[in-house]
Amino acid sequence: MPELDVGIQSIIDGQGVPIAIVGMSIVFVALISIASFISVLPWLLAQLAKFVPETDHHAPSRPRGDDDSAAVAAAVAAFHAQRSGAGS
Amino acid sequence: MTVLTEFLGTTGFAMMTWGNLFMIVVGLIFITLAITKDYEPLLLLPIGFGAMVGNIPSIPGMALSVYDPGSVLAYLYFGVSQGIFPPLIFLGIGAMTDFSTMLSNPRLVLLGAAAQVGIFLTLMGALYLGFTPEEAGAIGIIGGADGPTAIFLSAKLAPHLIGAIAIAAYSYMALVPVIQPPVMKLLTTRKERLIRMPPPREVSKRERIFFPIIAFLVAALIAPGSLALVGMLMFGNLLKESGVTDRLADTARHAFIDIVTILLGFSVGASTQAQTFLTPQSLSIFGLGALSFAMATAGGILFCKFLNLFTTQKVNPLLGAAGVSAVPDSARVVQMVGLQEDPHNHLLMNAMAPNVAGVIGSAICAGILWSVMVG
Repeated sequence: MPELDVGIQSIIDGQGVPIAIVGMSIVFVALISIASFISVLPWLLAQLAKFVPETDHHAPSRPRGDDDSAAVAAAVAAFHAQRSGAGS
Repeated sequence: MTVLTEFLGTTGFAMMTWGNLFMIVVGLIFITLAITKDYEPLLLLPIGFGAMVGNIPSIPGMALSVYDPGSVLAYLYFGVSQGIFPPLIFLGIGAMTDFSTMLSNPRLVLLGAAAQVGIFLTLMGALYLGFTPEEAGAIGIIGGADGPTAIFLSAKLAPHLIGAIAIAAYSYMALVPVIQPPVMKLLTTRKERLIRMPPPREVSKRERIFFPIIAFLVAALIAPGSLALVGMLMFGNLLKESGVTDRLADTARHAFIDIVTILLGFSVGASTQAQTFLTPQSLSIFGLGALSFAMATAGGILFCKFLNLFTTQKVNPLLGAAGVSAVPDSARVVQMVGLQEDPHNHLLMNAMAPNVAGVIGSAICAGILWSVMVG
């Protein structure tokens, strides 16, 4: 780093101020665009839902088979425990 | 006897310099901070050990260090020097980030933009100190408080400064709980710190799926230089939110990002050879780095206060401090400072909105600087 380069003139020569102003402006434009999109997204999706209702075809299906058996077994065990006075 | 003498002349002890020794101690300090203080352990520990590895003096004629073509470490460092690892890290970050709080309160996105002022003020500071515009751009990105982004841009604009910039960025990220609170308290009144924020609304699955796609298109079209970072971030997030690629998302946010973090941290550490690292430039970079974090914090807070002049529903200005993209550290600091004033004022969820917006903002800034400097 040559000593002569240190100073305000280096900022001017390196176009520091224009880069900062343009850079911040572009960041704001980009994030304001994203924020605007986020703001209208619920409305857009509400319109979309009129034609394509939101369904979750990947939702886990209702437990069946063994799971049901386990639930029934647990219920029977609880009932039996209550009848035999094992509960409180 | 001659063989033994020659061998002893090639040992690390014989060729060790004070600079190497100093850097090994620095590496040990990093490891100690990671283990005893939990300061960014996933990064400081690999970087610290890498610094020790990188400062064992090389034997002339043998390819050992990251700077010796053909060495094992040089191949590992390739991912850093070519800017490959940062976008891969972003893939993992995307797969673990929940943008719901940001989607529920889009106004807070602007705080993530305002905090990027730290990048451009640091750039001017670096120019003032005599760095070239390319070097200044790479140093400025430290103000984004995002390690991978800093490494990515350094690799493109000032590869010779990667080590110093990466160490500065990660060191100050670890020091966010120390740097930010004084600035936050200085720039806000107690009344402002007591402002309560409404809880985030519930966000639909469709919103969460549409967001990464549109956000990518907007960001990449405005600043194509951010393509790799924002693209991988949003791709990772889509893997998570789509609900049909759970295995891929799971890999991206666990094993994948862990592997890349190990390689990135270790090879960045190994690049901190005293001969290239201990320079006046590095000291200037560390000084500018500390200032950049403070300026980014101040930028977010002051912009939030400015917004409050025009809105009826006031935003707690502490949230502005979360605009820097140190995720989730800045959001945690906001929560901590908020709780100090009111033990029932939980700001963490709201702070995550500007925090993740800051990640997008700093990636866009990197794209802008890259475009401007090479254009």
